[in-house]
Amino acid sequence: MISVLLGGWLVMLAGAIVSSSGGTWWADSSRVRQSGWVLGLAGAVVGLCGATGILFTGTAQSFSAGWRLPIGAVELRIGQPEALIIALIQLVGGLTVFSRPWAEDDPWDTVAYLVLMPSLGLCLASRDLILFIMAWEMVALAGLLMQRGRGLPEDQFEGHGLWAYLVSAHIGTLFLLILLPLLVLAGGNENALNTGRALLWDQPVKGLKGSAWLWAYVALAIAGFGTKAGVAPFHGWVRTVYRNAPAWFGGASSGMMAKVSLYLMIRTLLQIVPEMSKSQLAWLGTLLMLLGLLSGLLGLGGALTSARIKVLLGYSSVENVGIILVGFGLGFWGVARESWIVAAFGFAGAWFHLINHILSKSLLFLATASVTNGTGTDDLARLGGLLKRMPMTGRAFGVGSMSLAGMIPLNAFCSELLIYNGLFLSVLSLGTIGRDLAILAVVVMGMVGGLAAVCFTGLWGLGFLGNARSHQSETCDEDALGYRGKLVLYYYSLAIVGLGVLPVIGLNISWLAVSGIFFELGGTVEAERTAFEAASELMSFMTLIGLSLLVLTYGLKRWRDARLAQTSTDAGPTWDCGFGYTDNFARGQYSGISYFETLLPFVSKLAMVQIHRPPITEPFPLESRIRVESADGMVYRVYDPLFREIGRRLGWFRWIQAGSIQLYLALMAMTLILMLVWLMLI
Amino acid sequence: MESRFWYLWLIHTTAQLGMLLLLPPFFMGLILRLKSIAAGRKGPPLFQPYYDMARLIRKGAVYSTTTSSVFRLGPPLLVSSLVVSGLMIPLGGMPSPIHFSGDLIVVAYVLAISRLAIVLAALDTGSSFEGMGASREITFASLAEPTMFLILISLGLLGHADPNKFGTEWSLTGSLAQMDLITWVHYGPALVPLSFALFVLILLENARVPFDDPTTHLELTMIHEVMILDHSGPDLALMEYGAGMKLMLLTMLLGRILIPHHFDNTLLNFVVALLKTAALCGCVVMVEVGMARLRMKQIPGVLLSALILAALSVVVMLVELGEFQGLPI
Repeated sequence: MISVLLGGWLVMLAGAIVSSSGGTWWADSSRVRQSGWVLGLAGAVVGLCGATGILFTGTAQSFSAGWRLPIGAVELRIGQPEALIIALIQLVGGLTVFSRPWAEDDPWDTVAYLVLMPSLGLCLASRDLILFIMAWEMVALAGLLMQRGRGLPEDQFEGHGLWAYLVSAHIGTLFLLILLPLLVLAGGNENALNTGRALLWDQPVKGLKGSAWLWAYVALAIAGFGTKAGVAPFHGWVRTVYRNAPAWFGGASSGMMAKVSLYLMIRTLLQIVPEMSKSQLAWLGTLLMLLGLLSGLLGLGGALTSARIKVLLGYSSVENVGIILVGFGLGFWGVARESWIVAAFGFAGAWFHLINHILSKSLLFLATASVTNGTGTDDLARLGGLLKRMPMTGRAFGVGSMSLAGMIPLNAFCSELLIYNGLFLSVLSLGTIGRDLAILAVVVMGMVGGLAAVCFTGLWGLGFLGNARSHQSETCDEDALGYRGKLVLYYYSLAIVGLGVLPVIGLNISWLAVSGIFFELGGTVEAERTAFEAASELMSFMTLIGLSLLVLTYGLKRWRDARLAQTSTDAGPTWDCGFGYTDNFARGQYSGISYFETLLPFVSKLAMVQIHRPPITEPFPLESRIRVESADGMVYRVYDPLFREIGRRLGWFRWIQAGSIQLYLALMAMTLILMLVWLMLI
Repeated sequence: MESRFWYLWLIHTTAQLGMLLLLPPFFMGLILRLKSIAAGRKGPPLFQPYYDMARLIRKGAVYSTTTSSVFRLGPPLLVSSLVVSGLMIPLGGMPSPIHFSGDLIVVAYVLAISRLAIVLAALDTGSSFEGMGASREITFASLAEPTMFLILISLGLLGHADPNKFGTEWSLTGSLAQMDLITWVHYGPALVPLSFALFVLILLENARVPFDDPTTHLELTMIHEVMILDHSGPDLALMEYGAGMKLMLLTMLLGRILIPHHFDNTLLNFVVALLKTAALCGCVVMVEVGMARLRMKQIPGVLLSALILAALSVVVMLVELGEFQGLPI
């Protein structure tokens, strides 16, 4: 099966090469681009079959190539959790390439996606250091290729996003470059780096037991992988990058890259876990849960200070990554206290939410691409009434956003319920600290759920319902989405409703990944069965409730329509106190920041918000606009001052960069001499 | 034994559904009547809301040309979500028809659907007023969410007060089935702040004074009423009916906590439950008569007080569970 997957990746890469050659060597050769696209899609399907095969065969599969890299080897191994994420990437990435939300004559986005998917897969599959770092960099470059400074025409900060992306991606990589060699060395083979077998993640680390350095490893793993995953407080790049990048980059970043990073973080932590005592494991759970709750709050705090769809969706990813982390943290707590049912609920909720979030966010960003293609903006203050002009986009966006707002019977609530249930069960089974943490988590998650409802009713309600607020949104259509795009949106919506009504399917799929982790951490078969049955029972009740809701709503709607068929239905303007302004004064509707304004005093602590109101100096003022500026609180209050200070300190070394070649040569010679002396000394 | 169980379940479910579907307008009428009496007027007949609904159902509807299918879906979704949550809340002295471990959270989220339905329908009209109402409604609800969850935790903990009695499931039925008057002797210090916090939430969720004034005529001061300005005919009937159902559900829940009762006679159970709900409606009226609506800026402060009360309830509940059940404090 692994060879099928590898074959799929190779075909995709071949598709990327063919597609790019159509854009460079023969400028007008659309047929070449088309062939590359078809090849890429075929590769995605083959890869999906391979990954699904590994997922359901149930055993990890390895691949080792004879080709030795300078200090590494091509060693691949794919277990069930990796296969699950790879299958999801092949699915949503393939669907995005199929729907092609970008301009058809631009091959580079197709190329970027076709390179990104195998690179992400390699990040998960590779077990050796050098191949991993190469794949990790390819992911960063594919993301860069997708952005290449293409904000919307109205954006004034084009290019800032690229910088933020590059800097954040490489700060994350910097932490990994420290962590991963250390992990290789701690893996027990001290000559690994010299002998070319610098293998990672296959064997638990050794020699950290009882050492305080263990927490340094944990911190590096969280900072290194958490930066790309968008875990607070490493999410400072989110606002600038999502604001300036095209919407399909958002789909790739939030739907695919963030999830891969998050899983790699958990996998690295799992490698360190055997060295931890029970109490240390409980503290790791606490750390993850607190980071998750912080991500939830800071994510929504950031979202509610912006009125841009892409930025809101980007911040919502931070929030959902937070929920997933709470699930994993709870799982670790459960393991530490040997409360296996809590552990199982935590892990199952985290994995199920991961799947749900990939689906919902891929749908939402694809729909956003349709909006930006159709209207040229993603500013809620300029949109409105899109449901009528973009019916498929509007309906799909509604399904996706209501899913993330926690509406029943849609998918995201079911996974949150598993985590909630785990938290409730842990109140009486995790000891006093675990209990208090669980209560805190339930309350904060409840608050996060409430804020998510504000965020997503605002997104859908202001963007797609009501009247158009600008000429752009009044005259737009969804032709750019095409037949394929509509089909993909339809399938995503179907999957979201399907998993909401029959969450037991999602639970079963998640369990393929959960059971491996569960046994790895010491769970027994009996405990696993009991936990699975409890979770299945809960999910079956959700089916009952979801179906009851659907049937009752449909029945009531039929009854109401039947009543109206017997009487009369008239059409008229919206109630406006008789002033007749609603239709002629669409800008008077609540929009963006005004919808969130009541919450601003609370969330403005988490973000910098400045509202510039033009002063009213005369009885009949002319038209004026309120301007709202917002920045991420972490960037504004922490990273910006910190980086400025670092820049200032590093400025002391500027004297070296005097432009004198002689000085540079002298410095190089000095370095070489110092290294020679060091070699002689050791 | 098995057939008797189903027979009983069927009776309780039918009775609960009947009460849930038939009585909401009655309590709305009762509140109106009590308010009128308190203001020195005779007031409308007790069954006036039934007549109003019958009239609205017979009428046609006017839909704004701005609205879409979302607006039309709002009222049916509102009522169906409340009916489903009603099936999970134990209304009389009996277990609820649907109960399972974890239903506490599901009830909170199903109740939230009714809010989403009304907010989205309001935003669909494209009106400044309704957008304002939607913004206020969803914002205050999100601020009240932590209080709601603390109340649920406290109630859930109560469900573990006596594991021999109703298993160890985290459900509303499990918790409330445990309760009898002696529970108040043991857990009173936790139940008092819980009841106050829940009462504040009931006032907020049902758009009553001091958070909202259901009888105001100025759109700028409204929250709930401004969101249903554009509904007419059967849709308005469903909206009003839903509002009554939410009030009845939450007051019955509070009534069950305040004076727990279990009688063997189903009819007696329901009669007592109705009497308690009527008394709580009286309390709502007393608040409405006794104070004016708060300024919008003061509402978060009141919600914070409710949050503190709910947190206090959880802490005291944990301490008392430690005392009576030997759980770690």
